[in-house]
Amino acid sequence: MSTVSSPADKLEGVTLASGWEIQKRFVKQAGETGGHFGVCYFAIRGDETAFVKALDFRRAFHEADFITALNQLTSHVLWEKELMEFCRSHGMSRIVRLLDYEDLILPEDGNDQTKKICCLVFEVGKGDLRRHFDLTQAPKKSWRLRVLRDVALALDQLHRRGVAHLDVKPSNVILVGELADRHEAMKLGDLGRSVRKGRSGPFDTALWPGDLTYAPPEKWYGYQSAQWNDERESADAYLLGSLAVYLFSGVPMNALLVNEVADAFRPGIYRGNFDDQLIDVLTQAQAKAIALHVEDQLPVSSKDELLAIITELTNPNPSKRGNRLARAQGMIGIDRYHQKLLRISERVALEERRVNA
Amino acid sequence: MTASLPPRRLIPRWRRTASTLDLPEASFSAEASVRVFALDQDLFAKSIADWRETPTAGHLGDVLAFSVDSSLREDIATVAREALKKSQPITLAQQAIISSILDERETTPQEQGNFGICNPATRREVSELRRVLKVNPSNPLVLLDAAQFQISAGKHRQAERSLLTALSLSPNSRLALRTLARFYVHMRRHDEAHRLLSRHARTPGDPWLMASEIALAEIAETSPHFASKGQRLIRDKGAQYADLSELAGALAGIELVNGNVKRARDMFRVALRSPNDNVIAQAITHQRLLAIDLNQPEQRRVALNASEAQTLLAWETLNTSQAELHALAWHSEEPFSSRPLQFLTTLYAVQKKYEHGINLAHRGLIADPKDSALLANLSYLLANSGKLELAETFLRRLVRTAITDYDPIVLATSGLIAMKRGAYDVGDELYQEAISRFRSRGELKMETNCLAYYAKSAVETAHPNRDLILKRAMDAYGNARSSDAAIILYQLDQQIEPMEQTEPARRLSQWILDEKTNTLTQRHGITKAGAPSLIVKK
Repeated sequence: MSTVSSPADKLEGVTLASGWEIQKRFVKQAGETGGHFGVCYFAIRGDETAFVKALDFRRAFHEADFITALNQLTSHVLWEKELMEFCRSHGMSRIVRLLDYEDLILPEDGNDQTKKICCLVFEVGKGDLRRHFDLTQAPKKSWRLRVLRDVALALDQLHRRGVAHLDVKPSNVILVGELADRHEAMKLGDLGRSVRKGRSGPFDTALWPGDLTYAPPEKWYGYQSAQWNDERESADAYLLGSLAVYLFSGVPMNALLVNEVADAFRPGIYRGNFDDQLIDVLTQAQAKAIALHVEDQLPVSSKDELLAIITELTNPNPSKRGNRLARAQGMIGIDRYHQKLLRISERVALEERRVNA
Repeated sequence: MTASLPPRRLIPRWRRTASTLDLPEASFSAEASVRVFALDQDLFAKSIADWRETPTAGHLGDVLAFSVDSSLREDIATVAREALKKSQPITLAQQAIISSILDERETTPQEQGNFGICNPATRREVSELRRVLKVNPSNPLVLLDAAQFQISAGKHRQAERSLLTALSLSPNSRLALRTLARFYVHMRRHDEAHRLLSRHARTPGDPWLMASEIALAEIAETSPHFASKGQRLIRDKGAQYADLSELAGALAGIELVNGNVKRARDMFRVALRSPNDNVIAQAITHQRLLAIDLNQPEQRRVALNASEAQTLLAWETLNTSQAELHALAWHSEEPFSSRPLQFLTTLYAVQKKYEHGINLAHRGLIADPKDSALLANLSYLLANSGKLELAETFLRRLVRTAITDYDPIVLATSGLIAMKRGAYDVGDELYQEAISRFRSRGELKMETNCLAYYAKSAVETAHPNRDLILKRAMDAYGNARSSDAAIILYQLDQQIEPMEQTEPARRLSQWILDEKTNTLTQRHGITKAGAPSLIVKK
C-alpha cells in the first residue's frame, strides 16, 4: 500500500482548464488503498456537477514491481479513456459520459513536469443504485423495472459495438438527471474492467476482470470459454439477471445462490471442474433461490414474464444463458430483454397509477 | 414382522437431493483439486464503509453479496447484528441470508406426531418443489426429488417420466443414474436397473456406479460386469476411501454370498475406512456374521447420523422408543421405501398402537401396493384392532400378490383372527401349521417369531392355555434368538436381555506404540477376534 502524499490529494479548490471547479473529496474509506492509485472528487461547472478521478502515476514508483505497476496503471487509464470516448462517439445514451480529460500541474509545483497528474471528469448523477434502493422510500416496482430496462439498454448498446462491461453491479448503476425521454434514468458507469471484441486490452486474459463478488458462478470454479458470447456477453447477461434479483429481493443472485448450494459444492470447497454435475447443482439452487426469495416480490400481472427473464439471465450454464430464441441463433439477446422490460415497466406503471387513483 | 423383509442389499439409497448433495457420492470428481476462492478484502471493507455512511437496504444488500466467501461471514454477521439492532429496514431475502449467516435456520417441525395416511410434511415439500419446477422445469435434481414424492403417492408412471426426463437433461449424472436404477428396483424391474448401469458409458470410470452395478447384479441374478475392475480400483487405491466405500461394500456382498467371510471382512475393512450411511447399515445388518468392531470414531460418527443404522441398532438392543424415533426419521428421508414402514408397523403392532400402524401401512401401500410384508403387517394390525373382515380382505390380497414364502404368515394371522372370534381350537391349529412350515423350511428365527406372536395373541385374547404357549415361546427364543421375538416377549413382561454378540469383535485397525522410537502408528487390517486396540512394541 502506498501512503505517500501526492498532488492528486490536494485538488480541493483547484479549477481545471476545462472550467471544472474541484470541490469536496470523496471520503477516503477504510478499504481504499493505494493499489487503486486514483483520488476522487466532486466538481461543478455552472449548473453541472461531475465526478473527477485524479491519477498520479508517480505512485507506481512506490510499488515493489514499479514497471509492472506503471504499465498497468497507464494501460488501464488509456483503456478506460479510449473506451469512454468510443461510447460517446457512438451515442450510447445509457453509459456514463466522460466529460473531459486533462493533465494538470498544481501552481505550487511550478513547472515540475514530474508532478503532473491526470484528471478524468465523468458525469456524476445523483448517486448509485444502492443509495436509491431505500425501503423507507418504498421504491415502486415500475421504477425497479425501469432501472433494469436502462441497464439492459446500456448493455445492448455496448454489445452491439463489441464491448462487454463485466462489472455490472449496484454501485456502478448511476442515477442521472433529465434525459430527453423522461425525468430520470439510470446509466452504467465504470467501464474500466471492460473488454472489446477484436481489440486487445489489459483484461483480455484475466479469468474475471470485474468484481468477483458479482461474477457469474462459472468464474468461481475457474471456467473460461473460447467463445465471445459464452465468455463475455453471457457474463453480462448474468450480471443483468443478478441486478434484477437485487432490485426485487435486495440481495444479488450470488448470495442467494450460495445460500442454496450444498456445502460440498461451494466455491473453495468443491474439488472438481465446472462440469455437468456442478451445473445440475447450481441449476437446482438457482431455481430454489428465485422461487423462494424473488417470485413473491414480482408484480403479479407480469410475474411469469419476469420469472422467465430472470431465470434465463441467471442460468448457471453460460452456454445456455440468455434468451432462448436468440440462443438458437447463436446470440444472447439482450436487445430482446430491454424491449420486453420497457413494455412490462410501462404496464406496471399504468397499473400503479390506476391503483393510486 | 421385520424378519420377513427381503435381505438387505447395497443398492443406492434415494434420499432427498438436499441430503445427498452433502455426501461424497454427489461430489465425487476424477479431478481432486480445489480452486482457491477469495473475494477482494478492499472492496468488502469499502462496501461496509458505504453502508455505515448510508445504511439503506441497498447498501446492506451489497454487503450481504460478500457472503459468497465463507471466510467473510464473521464480519458480515457483525454488520447483520448491527442492522438488526438498529431496526433498519431489511427485505425478506436479506433476512433469510442473515438468518443463515447467524446460523438461525428455520427448523421444520418434526412430523413425529403425524400418523395420517397422507403426510402433511410431504404435501408442504411437494408444494415447494412445484414452485421451484415452475421457475425452471429443466432441472434434473428437482425432478429427482419430485419423482420421490410421486412414487410415494403411488404415481409410478409420473415418477418414471420425471426420472427419465432428469436423465435426458443430464445424461451423465451419477445421481440421476443411481436414482433411476433405485426406482427400477422399487418397481421390481431388476434387469432394467442392472442394464442401465452396466451399459452406461460413465460406469467404468465411476466407483459409485460400479458399486451399484455389482449390488444390482445380485438382485437381477446375473454376473456383475465390474467386480474385477472394482477390485483392481480398490487394490490400486484409485480414489479416496470415501469414494471407494460403497464399491468395497458391494464386493464384500459378493464374498458373503459365496460364503467367504474372511474376504468379506477384508472388503468391509476398506468400506468402513470412510463409510457412508448405506455401508454402515449394511455392516450392521451382517454384524453377527462379520463380528467386526464398528465402534471406532469413523464408523460411530456416520452411524450416529444414519437413521437406518440407528434404527437397526436400537432394534437389536430392544430400545423401542429410539427405534421408533429413528425409523420415523428414516421414513421421512425415504418416504417411498417400505423398509422403515416395516419397522414402524411391526413396532406399533407390538406396542398395541394399531391405528398408527394401520395408517402407516396404508401410506406404504400407496407407494408399493404389492409389498407383501406391509400387506402382512396391515392384516395383522387390522385383526388386532378388531376389524376382522377387513383383515381377511387384506390377507386375501396378500395371498394373491405374495410368493409362497408368505403362506405361514397368512396362516398365523388367520389363527389370530380365529382366536379373536373365540375359536381357540382353530386358532391353535392354524398357528401350529404356520410354526411347522417355518420349521420344515429350516427358518428357526421365523419359527421363534411365530411362537412369540402366538403367545402375544394368546395373552391378548385370554386363551385358556396362554401360560403354556408363552412358555413354549420363551423356550423357542432360548434356542433361536431373534430381535422381533425379543421385542414381543419383552412387551409381554418376560425377562429378555438384548442379544449380545457371541463372538468377540475383530478390529479394523490397531495402534502400535513403539517404545524405542516413541511413535504411535495405526496399522490397518482385520485383527484376530478380541485383539487389543493398542499393542506396545518394546
